[in-house]
Amino acid sequence: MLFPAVHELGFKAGQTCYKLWHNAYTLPDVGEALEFVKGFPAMYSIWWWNLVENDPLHVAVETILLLSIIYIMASRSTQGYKNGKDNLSTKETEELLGDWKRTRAPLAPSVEEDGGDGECLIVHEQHGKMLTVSTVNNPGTKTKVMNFCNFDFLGFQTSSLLKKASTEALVKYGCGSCGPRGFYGTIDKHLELEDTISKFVKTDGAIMYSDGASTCSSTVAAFAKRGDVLVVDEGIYEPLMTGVYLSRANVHWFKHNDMEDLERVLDGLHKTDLKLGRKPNALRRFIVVEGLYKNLGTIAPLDKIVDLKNKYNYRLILDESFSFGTLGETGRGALEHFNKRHMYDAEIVTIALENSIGSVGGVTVGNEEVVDHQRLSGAGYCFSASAPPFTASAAIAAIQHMESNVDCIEKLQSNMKLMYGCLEKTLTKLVVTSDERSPIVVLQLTKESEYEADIIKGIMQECLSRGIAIVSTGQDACGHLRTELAPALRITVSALHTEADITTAVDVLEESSKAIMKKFPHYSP
Amino acid sequence: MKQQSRLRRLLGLKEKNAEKEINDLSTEYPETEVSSTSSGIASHDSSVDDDGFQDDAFADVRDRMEELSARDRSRYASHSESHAEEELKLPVFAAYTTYLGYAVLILCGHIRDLFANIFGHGRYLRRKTPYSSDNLQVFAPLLKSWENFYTRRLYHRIQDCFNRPIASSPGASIQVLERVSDNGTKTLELLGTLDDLDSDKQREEYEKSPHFVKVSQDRVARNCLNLGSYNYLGFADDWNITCKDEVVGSMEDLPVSNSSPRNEYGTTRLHREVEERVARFLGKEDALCLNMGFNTNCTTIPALVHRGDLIISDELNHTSIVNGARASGAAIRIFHHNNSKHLEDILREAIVMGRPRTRRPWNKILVIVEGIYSMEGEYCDLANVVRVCKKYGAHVYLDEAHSIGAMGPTGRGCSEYCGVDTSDIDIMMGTFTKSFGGMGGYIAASKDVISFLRKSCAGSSYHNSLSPVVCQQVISSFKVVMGEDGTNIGKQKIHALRDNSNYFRMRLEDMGLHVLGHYDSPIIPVMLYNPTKICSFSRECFKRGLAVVVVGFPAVPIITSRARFCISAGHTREQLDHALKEIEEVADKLKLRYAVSTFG
Repeated sequence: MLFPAVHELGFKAGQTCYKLWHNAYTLPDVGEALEFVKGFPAMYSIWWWNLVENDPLHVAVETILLLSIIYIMASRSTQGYKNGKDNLSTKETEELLGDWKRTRAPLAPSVEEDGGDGECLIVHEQHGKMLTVSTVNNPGTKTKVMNFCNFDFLGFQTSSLLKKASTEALVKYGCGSCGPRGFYGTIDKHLELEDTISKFVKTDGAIMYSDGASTCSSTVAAFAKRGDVLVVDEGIYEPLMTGVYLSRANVHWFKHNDMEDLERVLDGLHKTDLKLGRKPNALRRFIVVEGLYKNLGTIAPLDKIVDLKNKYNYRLILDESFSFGTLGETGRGALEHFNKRHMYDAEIVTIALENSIGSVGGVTVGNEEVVDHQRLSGAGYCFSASAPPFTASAAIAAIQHMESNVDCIEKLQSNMKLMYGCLEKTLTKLVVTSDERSPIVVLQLTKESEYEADIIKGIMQECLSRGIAIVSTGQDACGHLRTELAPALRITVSALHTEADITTAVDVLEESSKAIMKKFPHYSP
Repeated sequence: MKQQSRLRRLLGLKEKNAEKEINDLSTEYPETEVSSTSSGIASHDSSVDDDGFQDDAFADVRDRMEELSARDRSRYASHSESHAEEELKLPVFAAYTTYLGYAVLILCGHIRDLFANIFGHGRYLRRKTPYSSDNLQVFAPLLKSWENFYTRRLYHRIQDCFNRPIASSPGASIQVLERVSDNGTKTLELLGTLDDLDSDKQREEYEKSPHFVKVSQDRVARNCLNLGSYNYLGFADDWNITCKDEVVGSMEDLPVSNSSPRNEYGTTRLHREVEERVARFLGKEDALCLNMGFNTNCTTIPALVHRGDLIISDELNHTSIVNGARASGAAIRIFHHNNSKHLEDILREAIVMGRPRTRRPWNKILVIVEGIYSMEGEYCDLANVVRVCKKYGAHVYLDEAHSIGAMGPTGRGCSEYCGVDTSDIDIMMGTFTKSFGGMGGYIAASKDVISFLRKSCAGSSYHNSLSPVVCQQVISSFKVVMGEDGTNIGKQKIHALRDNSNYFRMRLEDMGLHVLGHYDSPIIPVMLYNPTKICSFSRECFKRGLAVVVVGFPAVPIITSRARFCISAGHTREQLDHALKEIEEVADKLKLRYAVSTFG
């Protein structure tokens, strides 16, 4: 029988090995070991012939298998493209290099192909709500238009208050800060601003960045790291999106402002945890939303989000860049609007100072841990020069004004009401898609069509020629956003506008949309 | 030798020195005795006097400075094959003690944590808070443990060396506000007025200090010589003379901030003027200016390269470049710092092999280098990088954040210094923060690229545009640098910066410190190695009225902690001599002369 023989041989080999091993440590009898080794080939050949005799088929199959494995391994090493070891000759290499140089893509498409600049307007002067603009190609002909385009919600942009504060700071500190915050770029004005704003929104602390956009992206990337969970609204704007991308966390999207979908996502993640037996505190989890969505003019339902976040134990990263100064009775933002508190209901809140406040930069507010961590980990804070002190000074002036006087916020909110009322009454060709508490008014065409983008752009230009500056969005938003935006018109309501301004603007908008749509007979709303 | 004499002519050096072997000069010249009174001696045979400068503050050491500068230039900025770099050897003793130092710090930190937990008493013990997210039963801690440990037990102990607040413009001398801590530098508070101090003894101590000053509202500050700010051309010093009127005037017609992206209503006439000026200054077709230098890199790189493209980046490139490259989705390869030979190897292999797995050819390859590396003080081997890229058809992206305005005879940056035609560099990026005393960054490139970027770069289509006030600052400072203000202040600034930094570097090297970087670069890092020396160097200097920057992990590798001096055109010879005298004392005290002895 084959198997006992094989088994016996195996046993013998084992014994031999044991002996050899054992003897190696007990100063072996060299002669005995040598004899054993000498006898080994004979034993092996006996075993082999035994095998061939008893089970020739077995031997044949195994031999073929062995040969084919050798063949495959040998042939693989010659197929260079699989293991990256091309044995190219110098000539071939040079040819490849030359070919690539000829066929490589240009850095950017040429201007003719691409259709010219994205910019079309130059602002020459701005006083209050009036802008003096001209086109890029024709800078000589300037027209005066009314500002329904900048995010100057409270009218701070050109206020003498900010200008006075800026001038004072400029004279004292010069313009730039010439260094990052860590290395003598911290000027007392920065600290004063951080103090002012944290007192204003009632948090432990605040940290100032020199650019509004990098505030969001650096903050998200400072806390969410690889392996963490981010649950993100699909409607977020570009800086948050960059932050989410840079964090390299596991991202789960939910439909814009759809609380059922959010619950579905959170529930799904919860079930995965249960399935994997993961503890609730094993991962850091964040929900990322905007208070007031820049692109859509909608308001995040923070009451429901906070409920869900508490139910599933998530932290909330909230961007208040556009809601700060516009929502809430005293302009403290979306959290105030929903009667929620900083640090308790939203752990990390970013605020750009570039919109309502009319200055430059941004801040992140939160508890001590949140703020201090960013001083070492916020990329835009550590590795970038700090904001010029005059911007901090201007922001302080604006916040102090907001604090002492809520008139401007009330005025903004009454203007908003008026605007939405007028739009509802007058508009026939366009439909309002933004929330009626949002100062960013977004208007879309009533029907989708291939001419949509052209019509929207046409209306914008027509309005401009009639003295009302509004913005058309959605043409070149590609690549930076999660969802493609439908072409839309954006009107920004400001506290500077009077009732007459708003009614005129709405009338102009209606007239221009009628005029433009005549040019597109194929489009019927 | 031929090349060296050509360089000599380029630099306007005197013929009598032409025969001397440049590389050996540093040993031939004895250490020059300099006293603080020797400045201001008129010298007519100095190399710059044809520019109309009567006083050459560095007449006594002029020759030696120029030789050293020419030596480095011929080594590192030449058109020849890349030079084998002579790297500073890390002293074995320093390496061991550094690792030992960190080991002790980490061990002590853990012991402190342990005791805090046992006795329930410690600065960093988690207090009970009312916030729901602090319930660690269901929430993961917000901070990862090592990061958190590093911050608590290593960084917080020397926190007073960083983030020092100042109460003046960041010029050559600054007023640093005094801070105090009642919890062992876990948190630092501004001292405020002298009355906030506990005892009269402390008060006396402050008042007796030679650097004691009171700033607005009687706050206690220390008057320091600023060796840390990137105020290369000194616009922070003479801002009121050179820029004030125009900058303040810009607010008459334009707002403080536009609150609108460039593509909407964020382009003012000033933005256009800045761009036109930058393009003209650099000899490129067009330029684009954005709100923040950091974001300029972060947003333009993703706009230019995508999946299917390749980025080849220097290993020491700035975080903004790293972030931009990561956000772009392109493949990233890293080449050894300033090693164009390695760059060539990587380029060849990348082109021949194509994309991983699919083997399709790359769409385009972007090579990203910096003009001056901010932590090394070295300038880029631009001539060789450009030669290699041109040979294989890769695009070059040059980040001149630190070199624009600071290098080259007319301040046009690294390309001018290395003699590289700007038309060979596809994209020139730079910032206005440093030399120009403003904020924001620019991209200068061909019309096609800029027009494409205006539309597709997030910084231009979504982010707030550069403040018009800052635009005016940039215009005003450019006018000075370009000599369009009708004076030669700009020229003087550029020469002063070069002289100051070369002088400072030379003297530091003479002291036997381990100095990194090349001559003609205004950034001068000095190696400290040991973690304890980071804080003691900073504190000792601060005590003596020098505001210096010290850098440790994670900005640099853990073993190569350093102090970094940034020289400005605003410094005078007296100030530099004073600083050097103090640094010499500190170096003796802290045993920093690693070039002289292994034990420092």
